[in-house]
Amino acid sequence: MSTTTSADELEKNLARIGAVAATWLERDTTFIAESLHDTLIGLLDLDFAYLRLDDAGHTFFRSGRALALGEDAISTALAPWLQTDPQKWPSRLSIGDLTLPVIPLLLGIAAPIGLLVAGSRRDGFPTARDYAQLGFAVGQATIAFREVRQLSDRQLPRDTRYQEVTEETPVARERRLQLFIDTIPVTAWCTSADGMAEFFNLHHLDYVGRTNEELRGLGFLSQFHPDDLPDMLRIWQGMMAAKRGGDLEGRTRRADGEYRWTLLRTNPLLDDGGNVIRWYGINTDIEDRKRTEDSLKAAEAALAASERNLNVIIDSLPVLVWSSRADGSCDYVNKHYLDYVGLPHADLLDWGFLGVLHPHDVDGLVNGWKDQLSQDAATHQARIRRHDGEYHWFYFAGQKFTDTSGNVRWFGVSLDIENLKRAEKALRDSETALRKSEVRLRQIISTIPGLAWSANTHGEATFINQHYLDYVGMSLEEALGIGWASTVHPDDVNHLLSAWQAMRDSGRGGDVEARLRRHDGQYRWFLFRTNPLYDDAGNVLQWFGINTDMEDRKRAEEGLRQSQSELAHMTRMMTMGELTVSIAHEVNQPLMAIVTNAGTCLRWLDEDQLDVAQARQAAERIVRDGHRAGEIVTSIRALAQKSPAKLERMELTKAIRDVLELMRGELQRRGIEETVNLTDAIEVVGDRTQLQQVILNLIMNGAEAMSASADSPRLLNIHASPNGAEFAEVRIADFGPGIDPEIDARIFEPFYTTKPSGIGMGLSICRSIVEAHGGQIWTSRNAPRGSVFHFTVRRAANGGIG
Amino acid sequence: MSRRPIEEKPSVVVIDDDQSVREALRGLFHSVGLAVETFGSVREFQEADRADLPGCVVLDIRLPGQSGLDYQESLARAGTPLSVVLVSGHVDVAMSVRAMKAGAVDVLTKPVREQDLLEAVHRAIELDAVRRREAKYRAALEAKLATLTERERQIMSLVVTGMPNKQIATAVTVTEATVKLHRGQVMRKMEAGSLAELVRMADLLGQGLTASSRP
Repeated sequence: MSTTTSADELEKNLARIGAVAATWLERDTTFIAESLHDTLIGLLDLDFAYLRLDDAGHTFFRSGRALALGEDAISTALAPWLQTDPQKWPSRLSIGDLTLPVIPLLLGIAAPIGLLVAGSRRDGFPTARDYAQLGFAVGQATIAFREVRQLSDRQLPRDTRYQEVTEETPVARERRLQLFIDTIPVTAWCTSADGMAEFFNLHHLDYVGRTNEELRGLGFLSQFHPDDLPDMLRIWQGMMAAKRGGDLEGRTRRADGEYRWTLLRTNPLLDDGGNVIRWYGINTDIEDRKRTEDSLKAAEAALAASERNLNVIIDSLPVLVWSSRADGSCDYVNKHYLDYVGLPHADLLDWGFLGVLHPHDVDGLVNGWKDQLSQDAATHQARIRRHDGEYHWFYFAGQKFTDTSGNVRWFGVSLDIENLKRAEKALRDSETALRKSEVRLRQIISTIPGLAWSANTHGEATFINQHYLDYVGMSLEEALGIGWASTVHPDDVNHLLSAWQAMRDSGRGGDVEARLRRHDGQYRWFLFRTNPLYDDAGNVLQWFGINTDMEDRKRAEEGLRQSQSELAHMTRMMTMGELTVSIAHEVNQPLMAIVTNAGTCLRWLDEDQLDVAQARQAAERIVRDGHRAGEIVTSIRALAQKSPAKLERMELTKAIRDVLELMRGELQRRGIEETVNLTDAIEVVGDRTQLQQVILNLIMNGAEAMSASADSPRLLNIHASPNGAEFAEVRIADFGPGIDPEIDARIFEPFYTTKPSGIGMGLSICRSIVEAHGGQIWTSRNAPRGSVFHFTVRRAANGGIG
Repeated sequence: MSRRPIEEKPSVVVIDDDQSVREALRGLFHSVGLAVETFGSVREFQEADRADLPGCVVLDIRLPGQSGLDYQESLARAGTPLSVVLVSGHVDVAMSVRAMKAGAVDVLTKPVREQDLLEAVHRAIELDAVRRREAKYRAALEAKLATLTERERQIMSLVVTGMPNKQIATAVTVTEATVKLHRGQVMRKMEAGSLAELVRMADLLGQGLTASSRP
């Protein structure tokens, strides 16, 4: 806005104020005040205007805009400042919840006659222009009010329009009136047109115990209770402004000092132009009625308060509260409900509430709800859509209410049970999971391909799984305790029970093998494997065990042993096949001797040269050589026989010698001289045939090594001696080309061979046999050339098989 | 090497590594009145220095150290004839051929029928006796031959071919008379009664006649 425009507008506004002032032709302060307020509020965009006139004590108030604050609030806010110099007022005042700029302006030039207060929230208020306009208005008002004052103080000019109504002399008439007024049993009074008291009848003066002089002018105000005065004045001014009579109430101090509620009924005396000449009024003591009213009001207030309270409660309850009609349609929902679903009332009332239900739940709720309408209470569960679109489960609980007239309404709440539902679901889920895991566990226990059981520390079975029971064909009752032991093979039961006892004594789990009788009577090998459960102190609480069918494994092991044994036998036979010529030679030697001796014997028995002594010698040699032949045949058969491995105590050096006996021919055939270095008898534990096979193989190996190379010394050294307390060691040293270090590691592998005709099983079999005997086999270099094969075998412990 | 009288009793030498066999053979040969000496190996036998004993050797083919067959072959190569009967637990054809080539009297398979063995041994002893006799006669011839002069030996080698004196004189460029003289000397020194006997002697000496001629 330009300065020019601003100036123009100011001029225009001032002109308007001047124009208003021109209308103040009547001597009516109320009219002046009201029109002044109207003009200022309009021009300056005021929130309120307040005017107080000091001499009459009248206040005028007008609020502009849509000021939510009532007159009370403004009066209260202004009250502390009204007696204060406007210079010292704060620029802003707090009125109710608002704080807004206010301008106080004194009326009167020489002496103050009143105060105008203007307040506005308008931007920039108060500007210099506001001051100028207000100042101008106040000036105009001052003049007008002073004029009114002066005019009222003067004798009223005679109104020519006034007509005497009676012929009675004024004095006579006044006396009669006076008498009448003083006599009627009401308190009566009158004031000037501007509200200045002029007269009170006797009855009134008696009632309040005051004199007319005391009450005249504004003195009458002192008879009212101070708390009621502002309201009374306001209503009184309103009447004066409206020029209409009316009732107002206030407490009047009776002569005895007691304030009693009084009804003031006023009526203006108007001239022909409608202007007030005088106000008349009567006061009626309404204390008794008021008290009744008060108690009634108190009751109503209490009721209202209680209702408010109820509303507050209902609105703030963390549940959705609703009521519905007899047909089930909704007629009320609380604020929380609205907030929750984020919809206005209109969307929920009647059947609108179905719209916030989960589509899947609508039918169920409607049907359930309608079914339950005939009953006294109804409950249901359904999902309600929250304002953010999320559905929560709610529990609907309604109670039927029938009033005395038989009208039916339903009141209800809907509770958010989402968390409950979730908790329930979680619980259900966890229970399900638990049940599942239990079922699974049971399934595992009952279906594991083993017989599972538990036992107490006394070794008595406390649990046996179904598989076990089915397997042995027993009931649980039969099998518990020591009943299960009856299914163990009689040959195994002692061993099993003592092993079981040993486990419990040591507190450590372990394995034991035994045969179990199946329900069909067949025995199968089982591995009983136990494990203890300890408490925190390390004591065994319980034993758990599982018996695994190892029949097949046993058989496989047996089969493997058998095939190994067969393989060993086969290779043995092959070796012996190679040795056939040599072995035949060995057998032939005693046979040769026997045949020769027999011939000799016969010769000595010839009659020509009968010599019994010579014949006997020959016969003795026959016997000796026959035995020797038998021994050789036995050795051969022992090597050739196919019998399962049998560990027994045996004499190692004898076994070596027996082999050498068989081998001698072969060694001779190859031109090999053997040197044998055997200590005294060494008792070992082993299978004689298999150990002899090892020796035979190693001797053959050495012999072949030396035969293959032309420049080798044909010498084989066979040595056996104890190796520590536990083992005996056999060494077979040759003077062949030695073993290539590169293949040294492989020579004991199956099918590894350096010989064109070999199948590579010899040394592999040797290793299998030696290791099966708990020994080791290895090679080393011989000095000055060749190699040494060593192997160890466990010595027999003294007094028993180790 | 000292020579023993030819009348010495033949004995059987047994070389076998098997004690029982040795004892059995000793008993057998003893029962037929043959002297027996036994050895466990070729080396033992050599060390005993009994190779020139009259009689025979019963030799096991398979022996520790040097085999019987090898030993026999080495003897044959050395021209030291021994009457050998080979025995073995297992005798194949190749082995038999080798043994026979080396002059073995017989090759027998163990166990040997004692009759076969005794026969073989007797044959061997006989053969040994023949061989010894021949050796002895030949040794005497050689001794006689050694007394001849170079010219006489030359004339003898021509005479036994049946060449007349005249041609011999031409061949050695001497007179016929000289040939006759040498011839007489040869007949006398060789103690030959007739030309035919001298021819037989020359036969027996064989290569020795020329081989022993001095360069």
